[in-house]
Amino acid sequence: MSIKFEQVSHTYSKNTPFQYIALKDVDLAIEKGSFTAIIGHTGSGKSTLIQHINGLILPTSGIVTVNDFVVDANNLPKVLRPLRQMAGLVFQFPEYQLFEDSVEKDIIFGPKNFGVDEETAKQKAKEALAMVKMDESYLEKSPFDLSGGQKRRIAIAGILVMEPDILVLDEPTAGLDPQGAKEMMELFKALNDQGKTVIIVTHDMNQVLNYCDHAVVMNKGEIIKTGTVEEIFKDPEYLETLSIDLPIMTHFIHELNKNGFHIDPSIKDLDTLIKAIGGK
Amino acid sequence: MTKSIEIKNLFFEYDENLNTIDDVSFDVENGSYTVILGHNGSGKSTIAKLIIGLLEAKSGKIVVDGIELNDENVYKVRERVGIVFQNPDNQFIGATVRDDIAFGLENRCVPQTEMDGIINKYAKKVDMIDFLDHEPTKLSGGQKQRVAIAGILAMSPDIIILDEATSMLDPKGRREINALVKELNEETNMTVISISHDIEEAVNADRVVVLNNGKVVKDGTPEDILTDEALMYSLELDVPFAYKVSKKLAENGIEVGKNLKEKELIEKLCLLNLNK
Amino acid sequence: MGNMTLGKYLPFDSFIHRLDPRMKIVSLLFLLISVFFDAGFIGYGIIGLFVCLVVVLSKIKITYILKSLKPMIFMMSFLMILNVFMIQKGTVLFSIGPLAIYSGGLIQTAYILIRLVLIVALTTVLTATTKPLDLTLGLEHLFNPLRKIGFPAHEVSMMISIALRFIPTLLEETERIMKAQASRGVDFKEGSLKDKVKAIVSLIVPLFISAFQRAEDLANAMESRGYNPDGKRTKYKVLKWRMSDTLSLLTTVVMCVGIIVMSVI
Repeated sequence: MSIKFEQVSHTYSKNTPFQYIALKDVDLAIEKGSFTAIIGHTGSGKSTLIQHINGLILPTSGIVTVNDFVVDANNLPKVLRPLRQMAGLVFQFPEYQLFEDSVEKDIIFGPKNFGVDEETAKQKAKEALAMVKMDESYLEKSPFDLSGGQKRRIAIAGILVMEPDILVLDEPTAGLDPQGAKEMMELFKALNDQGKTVIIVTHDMNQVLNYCDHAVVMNKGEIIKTGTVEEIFKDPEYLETLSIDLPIMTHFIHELNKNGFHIDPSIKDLDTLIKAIGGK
Repeated sequence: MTKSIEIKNLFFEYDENLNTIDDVSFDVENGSYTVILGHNGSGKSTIAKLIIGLLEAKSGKIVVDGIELNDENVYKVRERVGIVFQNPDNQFIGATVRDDIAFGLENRCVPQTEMDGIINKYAKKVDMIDFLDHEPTKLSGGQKQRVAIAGILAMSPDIIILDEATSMLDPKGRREINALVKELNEETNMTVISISHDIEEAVNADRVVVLNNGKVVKDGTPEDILTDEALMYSLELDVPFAYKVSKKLAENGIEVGKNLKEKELIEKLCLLNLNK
Repeated sequence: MGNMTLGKYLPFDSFIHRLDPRMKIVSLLFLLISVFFDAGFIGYGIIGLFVCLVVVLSKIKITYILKSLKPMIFMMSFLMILNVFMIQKGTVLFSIGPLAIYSGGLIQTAYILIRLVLIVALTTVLTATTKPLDLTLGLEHLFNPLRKIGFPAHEVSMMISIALRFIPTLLEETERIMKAQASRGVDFKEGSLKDKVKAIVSLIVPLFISAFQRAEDLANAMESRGYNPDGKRTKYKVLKWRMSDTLSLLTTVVMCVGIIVMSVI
């Protein structure tokens, strides 16, 4: 088990008039090496949940365990530093965290904060850049001269360079064009295939269907459903009641079934779908 | 049909010798819904800024509602064109929804006594009437874009340009904005130009203009453009899902024709009497 | 940030809240002037009572006003100690070695403290009962006559209202960037001076870049919606001067003038 939430609650601005309960008694287990999607509306607690994984937010009550690391209400920030490196968190629009005048300097910023010496960090930066499918010629360039999609890759490389076991991404494809989004998802899939645990917050259900193996559905600060992607999309009617989107494929099958077809809604690929329609 | 916008031999460059807009010409008919398709960096957003005079073309001609754009009548052109930008946060000018809709009215010297009536009317139209006194930080991206649309409608332009207005929204927000704009186009005959890479939006347009490297690559109906697989893939765009399924069905001996919309495909499949 | 009370608007519905911002600004001006005159304990007593009355009318808790004085405590104690020992007027009341406390010193110190408390309390009442935007609007109106001599009243007011509109957005952004950098191992609280400088740079640079981007987008949005700073504009928000404003202003002015006259004589 890679990540475990036990009865985790989080309340913002506790004991003030602005008190807001963002997470309520959350129990969750995420397997090592899995690719998990966290889905739910804006304000359902997704962001609060993922920030517990690297200790940016501490539980108000309950315990979060990441590998052997225990996070509870009483942790001191200093103690959490190794966790930050173990679980890399990529925020939404991560290109807004770039600040150095060269790509190389920006990528080695993280490792240097964790005490890695400059030479080793530079070596690791090359590897991280390769992981995001960019060549070494970019090292000396200013990140601010790059395109939006390239900046985002650099920002992600700035997290990967810390060699985290767990990669947590908050809407990593927001604002990218379809091709850019596809390349980004393939990148995460490749990292997952190399053994990293990947957790992604996304609104795009097609990505969930095509790339993830598990999904967690959140609503009003609670986890209301977890399971494999097939299990989640097996019940389109339930998802509709939560006004959660269906992947375009699942939606199509669901509409066909409303018209008297009997097709398995968890079908992922076109060929299987065609066979199911043709019914040979 | 009369022309809303005429663009002739338009050139524009940010850096010297690098044409962001490279000899672009096209007309937009009054009351039509046009999608300008292209990936990031194709120059499509530059066109919107050129049309309302936020950027100045190197050469070429832009005519909006019969008015040729130049330094003197740029404000006249802006009266006729409303534009919704990409980032919902950065175009919200007022402190509340009410104030934001009022901003354009103030610029147009609408008498103060008439403002509340206009604000209420268009806030209702975009379904934001219950949020009039909300601050922008309390609104979702989709709600902010609806306010932006209300602010534009309040100025009663003839043309509305959406400059990637849905690209930062979640799917629900995107669908709502697309539906609202389509409704405006059909009900009030407003000319819509949507700069986008949303294929599902393009399916419902009257016309699609494809831009790549600052040039018009192809111009036609959604059927012409969106089923041109070679073109779409070369632009790093996908073809509509319904078309993909239709084609694959045909390869497997089930003839349903070319369908762009899911609904049409389902209707045809239902008629085929397959084993259900 | 959440504990800061100075300058925060409290959305109640009260007589004071409903007063015209112009009336409130002008009243504050008069009150401040009379506070700076040597009004004596009676004069300060009257102003003090007046502040209490206004606070009660505005439905703001008196503890809220006291809280706004909290950030000033350090400065006030510093001033107090300095003054008590430095001012050598009147008779010696008390002495330890070379240090002596004079009666005049004690009185002067008390005056300074009372002035500070009154100034902070008065300003807090103004900001707590007036929306920032109404304040801006009030200021714009008051400065309008200065346009004739080239003071850009409208532009300044527009700048302030846009700044007010974007403060919450930029605070959110600051928090997000801090968290993003914390995920890369930045420690904003501890570490050597060099580490701290680096931490601040990693926050400031992205913040500026994004603020400039926002500014450009905003300028485009404003222009596309027909904004022309030199052109004529109507106003959606109009200030309404009521009878109650005239009467309240008159009362305040009479009181202030009385106190000033009293102190001069």
